[in-house]
Amino acid sequence: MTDHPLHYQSIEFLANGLADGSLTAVALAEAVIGRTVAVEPVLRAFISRNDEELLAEAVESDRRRRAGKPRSRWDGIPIGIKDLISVRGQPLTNGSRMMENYISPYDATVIARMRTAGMIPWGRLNLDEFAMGSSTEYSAFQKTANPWNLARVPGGSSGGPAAAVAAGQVPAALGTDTGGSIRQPAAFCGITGLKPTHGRVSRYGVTAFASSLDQVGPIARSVEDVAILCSIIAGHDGHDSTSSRRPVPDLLAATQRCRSWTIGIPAEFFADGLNQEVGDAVRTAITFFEKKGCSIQPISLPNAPLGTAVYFLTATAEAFSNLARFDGIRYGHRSKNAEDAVDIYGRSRAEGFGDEVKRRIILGAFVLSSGFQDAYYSRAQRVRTLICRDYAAAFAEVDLILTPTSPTTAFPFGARNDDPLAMYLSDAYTVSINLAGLPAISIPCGLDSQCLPIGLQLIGKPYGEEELLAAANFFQKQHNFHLLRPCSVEEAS
Amino acid sequence: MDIVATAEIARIALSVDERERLGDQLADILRYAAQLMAVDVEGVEPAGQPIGGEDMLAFDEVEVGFSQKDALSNAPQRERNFFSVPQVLEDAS
Repeated sequence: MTDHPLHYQSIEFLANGLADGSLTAVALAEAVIGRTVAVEPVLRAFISRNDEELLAEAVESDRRRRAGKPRSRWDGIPIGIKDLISVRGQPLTNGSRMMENYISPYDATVIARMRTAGMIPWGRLNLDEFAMGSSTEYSAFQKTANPWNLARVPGGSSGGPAAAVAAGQVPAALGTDTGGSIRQPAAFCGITGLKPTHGRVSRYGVTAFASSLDQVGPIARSVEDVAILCSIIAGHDGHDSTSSRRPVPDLLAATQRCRSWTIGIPAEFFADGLNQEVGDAVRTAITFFEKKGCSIQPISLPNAPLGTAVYFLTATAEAFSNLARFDGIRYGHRSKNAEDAVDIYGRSRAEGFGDEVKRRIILGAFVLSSGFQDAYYSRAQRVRTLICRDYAAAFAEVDLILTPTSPTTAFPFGARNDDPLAMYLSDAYTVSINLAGLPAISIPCGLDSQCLPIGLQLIGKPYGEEELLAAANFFQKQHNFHLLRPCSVEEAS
Repeated sequence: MDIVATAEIARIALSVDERERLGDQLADILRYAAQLMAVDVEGVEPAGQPIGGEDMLAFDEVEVGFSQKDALSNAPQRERNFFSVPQVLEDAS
């Protein structure tokens, strides 16, 4: 790893450098800013940056360390932030015109915890508007390019964080995952992304999209780095009544454990619609685990293919409710054309929201409306129970489930823009995990013939992050896919 | 789906063009979702929350919240220490 440039180094390597004095937080901050200045014109991963603040906080970090009082081993490490997570004094656009001029008055709990460890939140990373999308093309501000092929999308909705991590603009980033928004962009950009168990990480200060599905999680270039960041942000928070009181284990230590896992392979995730090269790469990974002594067991999740339909009726209903707060009264865009107080709502929302957000809110209003609620929302929740039961039955037999993360590799800009349904099916292999609230990780497992990364997904039991990270790290330690660097962005920079 | 009535419930003022475009797209999505109608859910309880969800109660303790200044800091329009909106009630005359 020592021959890698500083901007591609792991959190562990950087922490060791900071500890032994061969690296300073200021030098690290200058390196990531320099890297970002070089590649940002072609990538457009950041909606905005606070470089001066990063440098000032790095000076403070170095001062603490010289005084022998670093806040933790990770003091001085910059972390990129999806522009959906509140950082006091910084913008929180959510990728939307609605919140273009908003400044967060407080830190999200995950940010407060990072600060307690000395990590420095840096920049506002691009996303689909209000995290609704699978390509980051629905951002109101800019399209982010995939570092592996600048004519393709980075995935979404955490496309900014994934592209920035893959291109070495940040060592790691925080994203959110409601239906695959951490895992699918991690797969498209050849990096590692973890969606923790629903309840593992506080959502306080994170813009709510679909509360029964949303989860904050880390995106990084290795399983170990993901584990480090997850350990810092996880744990109970009195400000989020859905956050669990279970103790958070040492997840970095967990990555070093190894045993013969029983791994379930669900036939439904290898059926029609799966790109052949993606399928081949994932099957090769399955063979690897088998050769290393794991027991590979075919399983069935018969209701999982209904996940996309259930997801849309669930997520839109919850979005309809959650996004009611954007009404132009207390914060956000207020229309100048409103004729009276009530007119402010309809016009501010019409002017502030983009097409995809409007589609989802209106669909949510419909599936909850009287006369249709039983047929749509309530029925979806019953099928959701069947999906949860499928997973519970499978986990009575196996330790982990292995699938592709996405049916395809990164697609070209514009390919699915005019067909919302095609865009939704990008998340076919990830949404059912959110419906069940399970933890899952995407790690790179190969490149296709066009030099685009392929991701494999490991799914764990509720609060089973330790096993998940251990198995993912076991695979990663014996392959070099996570060390491959994106060709396009290197040529362009 | 009655797109005009539903958009009204959602408080989004759609243009004529948007009504047509979004209406068609939403009809497509609902056709896709219709596959759920064929699933036998007789006697199945609705989920609402993922598995492993635990009910949490907060301690009934007073905490320092937002200052009025912070709460008003992003207001599109304010007057003294209040959010300001156009007049809602008509003058009595």
